[in-house]
Amino acid sequence: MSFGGPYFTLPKFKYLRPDSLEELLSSLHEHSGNAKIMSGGVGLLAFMKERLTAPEYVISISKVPELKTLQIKGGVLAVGANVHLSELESGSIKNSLPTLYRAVKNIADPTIRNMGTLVGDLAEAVPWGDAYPALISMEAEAEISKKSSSRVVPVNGLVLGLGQINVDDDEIISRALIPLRKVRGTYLKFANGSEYGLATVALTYFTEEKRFNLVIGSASETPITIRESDVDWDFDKDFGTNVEKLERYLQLNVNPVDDLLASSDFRKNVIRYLSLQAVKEVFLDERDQN
Amino acid sequence: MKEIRINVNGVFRHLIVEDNEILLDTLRTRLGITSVKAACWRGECGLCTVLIDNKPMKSCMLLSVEVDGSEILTAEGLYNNKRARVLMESFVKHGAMQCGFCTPAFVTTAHSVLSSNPDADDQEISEKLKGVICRCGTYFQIKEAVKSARAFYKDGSPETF
Repeated sequence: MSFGGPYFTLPKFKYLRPDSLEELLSSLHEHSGNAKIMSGGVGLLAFMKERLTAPEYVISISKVPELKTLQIKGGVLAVGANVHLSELESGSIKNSLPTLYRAVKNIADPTIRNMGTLVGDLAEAVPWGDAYPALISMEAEAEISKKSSSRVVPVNGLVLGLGQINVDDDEIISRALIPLRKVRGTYLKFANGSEYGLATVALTYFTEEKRFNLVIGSASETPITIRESDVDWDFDKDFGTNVEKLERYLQLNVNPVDDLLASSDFRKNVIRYLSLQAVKEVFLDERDQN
Repeated sequence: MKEIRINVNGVFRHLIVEDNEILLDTLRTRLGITSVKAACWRGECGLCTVLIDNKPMKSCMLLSVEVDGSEILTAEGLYNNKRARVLMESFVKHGAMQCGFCTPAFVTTAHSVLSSNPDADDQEISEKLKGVICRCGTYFQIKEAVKSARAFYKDGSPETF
């Protein structure tokens, strides 16, 4: 039927499509270790075509209504595991969660965003993922469910390295929980013509608490986080001096990976440029608009 | 093996598919729908784009079992749609192709953009067409063709002949 080689075919597996969260969790429990969860499938099928993974069971969550919901409750935006990225491209998300909006806009292309999901991008656990740095900068949490229980953990620390995630085989990241606070934010990506970033910068500034999180992605196995509390810079007070401090900090403390796509020095320059651009957007341009 | 029921270009199909069968394979090899092109097989070029419930999606990255119950539209199915026919004619008029390999994917994607938002501005059109690659580089003409057909979607002209 197909041309035969990798890329064109998928390894054999048994496809399961539960109709409820309860059924999903039972089936995940039953086939623990031999099953992969598929939401949009864009990431999983790519890995399977390249024979990087070959699970015995693929469990689709496309018919699980509980994971399809996008709701605001108690000052938190809960994004279900099967909410497509294109559903997050609305005007209200743009205004209330600018970092998320801009990160989503940077993921692949609009057609893929009709298929892929935010939680799927996080669960794929690749260093060049866009969801992970953005969610860390917004101090999001993840709801992880399994048959008998569920837990809520900070998104920061969930991804341990390439393809490694702090979620057990019988667990699923059921929702991403993003706090709705007064924020300014941006997400910048340098991708050099590809969809994979050579370096990305997510910056979220909580205007009431007057603190920020600057997260650098795609430059090392896990994102590099710079918190206001670690550095004590006040861009709102004295922009020029603090930008110099930021530049010095990046020069001394950030050591990006050296690989076939770019050298460490090149990435370092890109990170410097993106970080300066991000603080300028968030602390000068957006402040002037507000 | 799974049973699926899909509506492809207005025709109901009842198929038995393998669990690991890719939709692109089902459409091209089983149903003979050849406007859906097979090129990269990894979701990058967009030449296999089809409309699933009026949303453009890349059929090389979809399992056939996943689209059970959906309505699938390809360039063949758009031929009987009056608005889409104007869009196709606009492609010809603007010379929006060279080899023509990507044209069905661009037409289906552009039809979805204009039918879901006839007020789409130039920027939105450019943005939404980003999922398809034209190696001949006729992007300028493609965008002009879509912009030119926009008025026809906007003025409420009938969809069918």
